[in-house]
Amino acid sequence: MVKWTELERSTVKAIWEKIDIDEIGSQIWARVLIVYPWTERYFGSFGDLFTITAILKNDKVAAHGRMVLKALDKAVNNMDNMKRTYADLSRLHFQKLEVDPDSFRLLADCITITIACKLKSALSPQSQAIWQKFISAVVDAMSSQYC
Amino acid sequence: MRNSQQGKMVAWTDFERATIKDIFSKIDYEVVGPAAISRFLIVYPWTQRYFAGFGNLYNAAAITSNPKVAAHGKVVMQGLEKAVKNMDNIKAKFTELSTLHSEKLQVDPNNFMLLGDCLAIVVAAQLGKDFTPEVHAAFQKFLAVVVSSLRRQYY
Repeated sequence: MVKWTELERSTVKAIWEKIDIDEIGSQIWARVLIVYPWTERYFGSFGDLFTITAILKNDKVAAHGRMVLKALDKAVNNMDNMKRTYADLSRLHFQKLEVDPDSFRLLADCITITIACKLKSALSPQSQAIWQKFISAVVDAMSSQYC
Repeated sequence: MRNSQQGKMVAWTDFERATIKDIFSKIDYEVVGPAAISRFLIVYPWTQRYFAGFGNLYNAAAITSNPKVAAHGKVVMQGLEKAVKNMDNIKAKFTELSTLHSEKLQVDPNNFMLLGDCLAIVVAAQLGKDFTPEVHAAFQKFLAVVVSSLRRQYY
């Protein structure tokens, strides 16, 4: 189990409180698809992803981003239990969706950058360190059911 | 005889060239360099082993107020500026720097991207919503080329 100090718990919650899931969610997925274009291979059913403009306007992309952030909310509220919280999701991504687990790290990076754009200097170096520890734990939990 | 150093060149679009130059004209090296190095040392604490001569690095406050850390941040930005001014020739321009980091400083090359990640976060925080996905993609590509050039003389 990952050990969390009181400061780490309160910092993660404080950052999370500042995030508007609807606003941030729609941005993070567009970032993943634009910055790491090979990830588009997983989204054949999303329609037009042929240009940056299309990606930024795509409703399915925005909806998917919001869905991912809602799932991240589960981690914020279950920091002592992430592996169990994400076991089913991890198995789904491994067995059914066949997603390369390295993608989780790319998504984590895009989430962190989107938060940095939003919070700017309020994301201090210590807060960044704590957030990255949290998001690495999420990535580990999502990778946990991969054999 | 063909110059064997020519090899394959990185292809930059006009948007990417303009974006990289624009980012580097907007950011204050004196602020961004020190901020990126401080974050690097705080978020990835094992990297402090490379800076034994820097004095007090015992906690985040000490790191962010350490003048040697700040000075090194500026040195890194000056190195990056060389890459910005020579985007078609980064590999060649960084040959000596790569050899230095490999042979003399003995830096694990995996750390280059970690510093790149910290730099991206600092730039993102500075530019806010102007750090759009497209700008982010161009910056990420630039960082990847710089990191690859720094790794090149290892082995």
